[in-house]
Amino acid sequence: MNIFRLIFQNLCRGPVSFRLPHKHECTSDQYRGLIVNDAERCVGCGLCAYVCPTAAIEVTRSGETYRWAYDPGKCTFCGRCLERCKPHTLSMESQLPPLYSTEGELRTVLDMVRKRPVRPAAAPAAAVDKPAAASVTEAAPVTTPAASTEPAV
Amino acid sequence: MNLSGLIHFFVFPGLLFAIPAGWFYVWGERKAVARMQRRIGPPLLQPFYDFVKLLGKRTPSRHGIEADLLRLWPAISVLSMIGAIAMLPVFPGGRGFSGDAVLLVALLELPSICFILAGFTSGSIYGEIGAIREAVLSVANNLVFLLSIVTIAVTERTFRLTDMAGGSWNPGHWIGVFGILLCIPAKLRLNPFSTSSAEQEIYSGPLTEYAGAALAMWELAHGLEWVALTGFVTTLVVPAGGPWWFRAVYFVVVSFAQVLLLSTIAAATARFTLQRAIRFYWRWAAILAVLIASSAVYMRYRG
Repeated sequence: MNIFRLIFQNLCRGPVSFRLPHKHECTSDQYRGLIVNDAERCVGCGLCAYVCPTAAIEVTRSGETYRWAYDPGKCTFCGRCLERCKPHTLSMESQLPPLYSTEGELRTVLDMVRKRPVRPAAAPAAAVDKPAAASVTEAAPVTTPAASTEPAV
Repeated sequence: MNLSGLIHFFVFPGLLFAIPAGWFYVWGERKAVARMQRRIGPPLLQPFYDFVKLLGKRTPSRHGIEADLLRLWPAISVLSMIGAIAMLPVFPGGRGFSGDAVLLVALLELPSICFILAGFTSGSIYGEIGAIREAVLSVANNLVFLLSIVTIAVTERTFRLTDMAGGSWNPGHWIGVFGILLCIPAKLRLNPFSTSSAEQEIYSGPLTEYAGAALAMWELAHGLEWVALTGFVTTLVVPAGGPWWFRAVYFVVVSFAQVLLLSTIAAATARFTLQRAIRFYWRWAAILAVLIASSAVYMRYRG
């Protein structure tokens, strides 16, 4: 009869689940949430789209501009795009993705101008060769901590 | 059919009452089990939402006699259950006819037969396994079910539902009600007798190949089974007399109390294997039922 005692205790304690939509704080800052792209620093290399196993990220180029599109509905939150992103412009939110009911509702599209990739450790000679950095993005050093680019486990 | 009969069929306890009541009982069972497992459970209108959602689904097209039969079985189940519910003597009066309890038993058994036929019609191996399990379980629990009804009938000296109804103080009557209650989990395919519609093992058995409107009809038939079976027990224990509104409220309250009782049993038990379920009905319950029925017959002809 232990089961009936357990059932009675469960009834007294109340439910531990919750009704959706429900917002609660994510306990881990390593949580793999939505992919966020820093448009100021993205160079449009397309590596993220190349390695994405579900084609959640698409990069389409036309001349000097390119379009970076991300569909969370297709994303498996594996973090491969973050691993491959050389300028470390991609990051993952530590919040739960919001609930949505329409296909493509959370789709993010960024239209950007192509920039030249930044070499992480530029030699002084190279710096002399290119004294006038054309854009802020190229001049800005990549200072994103390595820990934040690692996918959460 | 006179006006009273039409009201019974279309309004209360028939069509207009039975369908929302079926959804309500299904919700009650799901909610109660969820709370016993510390889950929040579905909202009140969830069975209705499920029904509407299934009605709107596009289903894979089937052709030929198989498609017609797969649509026919749930429709027969729904109609037979509405007929059974309309026959329940909720209100006192001279409705019904001599031996209508036999017709009620037949109508109550039709969904189970349709469930078996649906399994074989589907052509799915899971459907066939579920159908075989349902057939074996049906034979097992019907022995006890029929003997319980015979016990009540012999005790009350009638097979007329209006005369069988009412809370008689005869012990045979109450033992018969207890026997019927023992069979309801198997008839509703609830734990521990849910082996024929085991979701995790055989993908709901005969319902594996069902989708869309036909599955919605099965869900509706299941809700109506709840109303019919719990309502049948309620009419057997409802006290004689009283105003109509009291009997209507009593019908709903006692039926829902049975829903909670059956939900508790379902939450507290694991699924029996087929052999164990048969053993339960044929070894213990059937022996008890035969003893009670034979003693009722003996007392009937002795006194």
